[in-house]
Amino acid sequence: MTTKSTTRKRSRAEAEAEKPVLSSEDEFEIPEINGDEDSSDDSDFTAGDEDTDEEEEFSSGAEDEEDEEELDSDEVPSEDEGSPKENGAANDEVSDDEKEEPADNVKVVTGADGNPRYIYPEIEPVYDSDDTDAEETNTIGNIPLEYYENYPHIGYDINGKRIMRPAAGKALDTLLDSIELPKGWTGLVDKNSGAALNLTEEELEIVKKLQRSEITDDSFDPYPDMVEWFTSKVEQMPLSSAPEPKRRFVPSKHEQKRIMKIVKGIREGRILPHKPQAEASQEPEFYDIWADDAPPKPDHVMNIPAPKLPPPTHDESYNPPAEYLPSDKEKKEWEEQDPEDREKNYLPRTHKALRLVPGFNGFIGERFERCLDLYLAPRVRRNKLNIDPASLLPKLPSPDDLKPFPTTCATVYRGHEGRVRSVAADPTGVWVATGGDDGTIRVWEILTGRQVWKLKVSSDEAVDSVTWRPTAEGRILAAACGNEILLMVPPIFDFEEENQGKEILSAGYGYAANRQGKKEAPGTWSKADAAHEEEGVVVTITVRKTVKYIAWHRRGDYLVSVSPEDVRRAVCIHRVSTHLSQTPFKEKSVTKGIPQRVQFHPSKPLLFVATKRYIKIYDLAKAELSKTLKPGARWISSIDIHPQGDNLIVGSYDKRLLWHDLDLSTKPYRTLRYHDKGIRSVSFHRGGFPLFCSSSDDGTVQVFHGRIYSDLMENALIVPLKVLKGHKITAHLGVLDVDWHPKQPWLFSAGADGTARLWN
Amino acid sequence: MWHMGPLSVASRSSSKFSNTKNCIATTSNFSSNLNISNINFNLDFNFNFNPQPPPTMSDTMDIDGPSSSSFPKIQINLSTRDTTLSIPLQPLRIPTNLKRYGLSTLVNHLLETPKPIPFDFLIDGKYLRTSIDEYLTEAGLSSEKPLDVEYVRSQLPPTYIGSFEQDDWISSVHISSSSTSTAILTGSFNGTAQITSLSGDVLARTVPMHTQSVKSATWISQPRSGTSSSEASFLTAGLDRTINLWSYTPSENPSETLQVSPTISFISHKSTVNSLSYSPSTSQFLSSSSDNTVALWSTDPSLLPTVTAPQSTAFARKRRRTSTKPPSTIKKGPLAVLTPHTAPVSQAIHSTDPTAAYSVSWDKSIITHDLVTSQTVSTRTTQHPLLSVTTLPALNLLAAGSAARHITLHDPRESSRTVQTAVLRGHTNGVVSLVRSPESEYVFASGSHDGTVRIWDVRGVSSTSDGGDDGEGKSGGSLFVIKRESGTGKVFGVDWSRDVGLVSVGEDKKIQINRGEGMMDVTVMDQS
Repeated sequence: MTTKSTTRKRSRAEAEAEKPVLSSEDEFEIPEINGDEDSSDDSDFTAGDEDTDEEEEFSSGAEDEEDEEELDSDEVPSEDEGSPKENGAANDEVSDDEKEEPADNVKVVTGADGNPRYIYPEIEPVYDSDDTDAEETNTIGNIPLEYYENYPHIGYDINGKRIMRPAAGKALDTLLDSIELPKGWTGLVDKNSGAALNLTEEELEIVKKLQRSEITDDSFDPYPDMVEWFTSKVEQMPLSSAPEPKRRFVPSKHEQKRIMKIVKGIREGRILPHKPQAEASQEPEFYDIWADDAPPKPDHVMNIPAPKLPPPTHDESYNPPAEYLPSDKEKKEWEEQDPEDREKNYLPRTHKALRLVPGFNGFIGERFERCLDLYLAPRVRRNKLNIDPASLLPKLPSPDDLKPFPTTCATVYRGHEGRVRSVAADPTGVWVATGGDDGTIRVWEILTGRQVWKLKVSSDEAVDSVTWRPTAEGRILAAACGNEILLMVPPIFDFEEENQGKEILSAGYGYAANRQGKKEAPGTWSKADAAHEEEGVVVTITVRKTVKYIAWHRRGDYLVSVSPEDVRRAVCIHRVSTHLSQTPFKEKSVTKGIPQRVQFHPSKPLLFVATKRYIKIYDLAKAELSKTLKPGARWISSIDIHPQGDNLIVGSYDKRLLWHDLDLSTKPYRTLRYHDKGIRSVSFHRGGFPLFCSSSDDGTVQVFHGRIYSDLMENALIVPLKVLKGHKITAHLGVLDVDWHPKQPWLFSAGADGTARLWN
Repeated sequence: MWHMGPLSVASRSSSKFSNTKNCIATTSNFSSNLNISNINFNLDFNFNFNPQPPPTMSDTMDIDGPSSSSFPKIQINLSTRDTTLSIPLQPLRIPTNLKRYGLSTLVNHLLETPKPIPFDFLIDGKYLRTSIDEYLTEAGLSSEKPLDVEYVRSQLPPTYIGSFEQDDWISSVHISSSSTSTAILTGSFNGTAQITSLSGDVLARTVPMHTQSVKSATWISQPRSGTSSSEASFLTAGLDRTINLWSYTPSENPSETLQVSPTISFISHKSTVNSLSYSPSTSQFLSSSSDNTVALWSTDPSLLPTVTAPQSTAFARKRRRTSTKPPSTIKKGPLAVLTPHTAPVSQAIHSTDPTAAYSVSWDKSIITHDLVTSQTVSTRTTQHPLLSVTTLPALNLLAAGSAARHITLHDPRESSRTVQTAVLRGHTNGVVSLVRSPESEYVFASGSHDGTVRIWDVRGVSSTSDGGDDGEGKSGGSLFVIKRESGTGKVFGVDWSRDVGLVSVGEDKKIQINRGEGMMDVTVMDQS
């Protein structure tokens, strides 16, 4: 029923839409219209039948379809259905005739055909009942729509009425439609109705929102006002002044209960705290075979882990490759080496099979050594200094760059019986003179080592010091033997030179005679005795005590002698040209120490006196003490002054060689400790080579490079060059004296073993 | 005898004709020749040619040694500096297991020598002492590359012949090198000179004219046996600063020892006279002294100024009175005194040009003198004090022995740029005496204070060895080392003559004679 009415209503609405009436207002005016129509209905009623006839005609004639349809659609249903209703309403009184029937609100009237007509009451146009927008249901079933292509209708509704084809515009209209797309046009056509499926306003709105990724629900506000539940502002006052709840500081009883439960479980064994993991055993086990399998020691200050041994090498194998086997030469070398010097403590050896490897024959010995090591050398934790030891060494030039210097023994001068006490090279560099314990003075040819002259001075006293007069003219040799100083000209020189020397020596006889008796002189000058005179000795100076050392002044006129035993007149200066001896110091000013060595300064009027502990420098012109050097040695054995006069070397019996720079301070500039025993003699080279040397009781002579720079700011460069070994130690005495060749880098040494040696 | 000529002919003919018969004939010819050669030379192995010469025979000759199959072959180019021994330059392919003897036999074959000459082989300045294979391994060379091999007459190892003892150190030795009679003149440290025959008889001894050691003695004219009238003369000089000329007439009785008296004393030097050098062409001699001078003298006294001996003072006279009175002689002064040196002059020698002389000194310099003008021509300064010098005239070289234990070779010519061409190391003490070999211009001997005499070959100077600090990149080692039979003791003098051999004297008071065995054979062959 409802469908009927709705279709009717709709068709009416459509019909009205034909009229120039706003369709939108339709519904509101329905009652009025209805009223109007009721009247019209009646008039139209018959026409309705006619219409159906016409319809049939139309259906046969295809042309003018649309016009017809429009008419149809308007007319037929409205006629058809509207009329009964209105009829019903109108014919309420009539229906009484008719018996029956169904519901009380249904009027049954007899139609024109004589059949009862059921007139239903007007449906209240409430919202619910309105089904105008319900779709017209096509009842053609499941057949393709194209079957109806040639018909004006597309099917039948539930009432068997034709559902007319929705109006389709002409081609031009379609084009215009396509150009001016209506809002919500989708291009889709309803399958059933054939109408364009357009989107409604709401649907479009939803689509737009979806495109903007917005929530489609209108009620959702994407930007609500923020409610600051928890503000970043710190309130000055607490919101609550309630005291802290107890649970904040009282241990929770509940938790304790739970813990006690677990503890109880553990105690009873119900709970195992560290369950052994079953999965671990399933994994394959790998071992680091190089890892130290000893259990880790406790972390303790004194615990020092053993050093990790390097992995074994090829040559430790029982059957090493051939290239690792030592050759016969290497084997021999290894065997000859001292066990401590060996690089490896085994020799690679090859065995055909492991079972042929013999037992380790050094087992006991090695164990013993290890135990000894552990016992004697306990490992000590030491703070490791990360300093390259090479950087600590001073940067010294290599000795190879400082050649030439003496390296080997070239000549041995053999002949002395007993120690050779003193050695001195002739200023021409052809001869060398020695004096020894056998009381002889000998002169040798330098290179061949041939003794060319010998003088027996004394049978019981040793010749303690020999020295050549350092001048070009007059070859005069001074020698100290006992308490005598002999000045001589060895008969090895050209007669002219010999005579010249003798004249120089004998020139002072007259002076000596004049002065005699005036004052007790420290030394007595006298003519040599006949036996000596024949050998070339010209003058003998006799002093009171044994002269240990004599030294010439550079001009050759003065000779200074030291007799350490003479407390009052230990140092004497002898003047050759006047045959006079004198003590340079007044008795009061004589130093407390015992003079050991004296030396004239090579250019200034200074006298260096070395006592046991100090070196005193006297200014001879002013007759005063100018400086005292304190080398710090216990017992100075010898000194020598650099030919330029600003540096001094000091040898001491306490093994030290001290270099003094006279410009720097009274303390030594450099201390060299290379000798194993006391130093006997030190000497500078005076022929232009920057060399100096020291000789010691350990039987060695050590040669040093000592370069002095003209730049005052630069300190002397001292490089140890060479240890010359050769002299044998005899009765704890080694090399007693050294002297340099005046021009060549050759060195002469006098040894306690009865030989003198030339080193070049 | 197979040698290059027939071989090349054979190869050419075989390749030309490619006739089998011809080939066989030539090869058989070779084998028969080889057999003969084997008999002749008593070879210890056979040389075999490749039986078939290949159709395109190369210039290289292939030689097989014994069991050479296991050894690769190497191509060598043999060469020599001796023109009498040269062979045509042709590369040879030899097995690398050959040693010196094998190579020597090969060279003798190539030379067609009637008697085999022993040869030594130098490869890159080194004597081949091992097999070639070992040499290549040691030098890291490949056997692919051809090897340049120089062959030289073998310097036979000097074996000890004998020694004669004297009563003091002997300072110098000079052999009179006449072919008929041999006399060895030695100067002794006791101040005398002695003449010793090869049989050890002391033929003559000088009277004690020298008050001190004789440092140098040299023959001026040489004694000839047979003619008694022939007079020989010699010079001695020593520590007493004088040079004496002695004349000596050989006695009929060789067992008798003559006393020789001096005729002239040459006086100029103020210190030890270190060396004497006599030039027969000009009759002049040079003396070098420790007073830094070199003096030029003539043996003709009429050319020299007469001088008086320096006046001795009373002391000196007294001393001399005690000794025996020496015979009086004519006192002569020098022709010229050359004083460019600043240190003792250790040796002065004449150059091949008699008007030039070289002197070496402790002042490290080698000075070339012009004796005519007494001017210094050039000065070459070395690194070390020099003690001895000798010329190697064929090579224009001077060999100088230094106090720094080595021998340096110098080119004295003005044109040469380098001061020093090579350093020969080996001595352990100063080298005081040098003498060149009478047989080879490349060989010389040195006597040193280390008690050895060493024989050196200039060709054996290798450029690959380390040059050291003072060398010019070349150095070498000695061929042979002769030690003193008596043990130790310095060697002061050496001399080398064809007849006697290598004679050295020294601190052990002995004249020691060494000679290379077979040297005489070589000498004979050379003269024939």
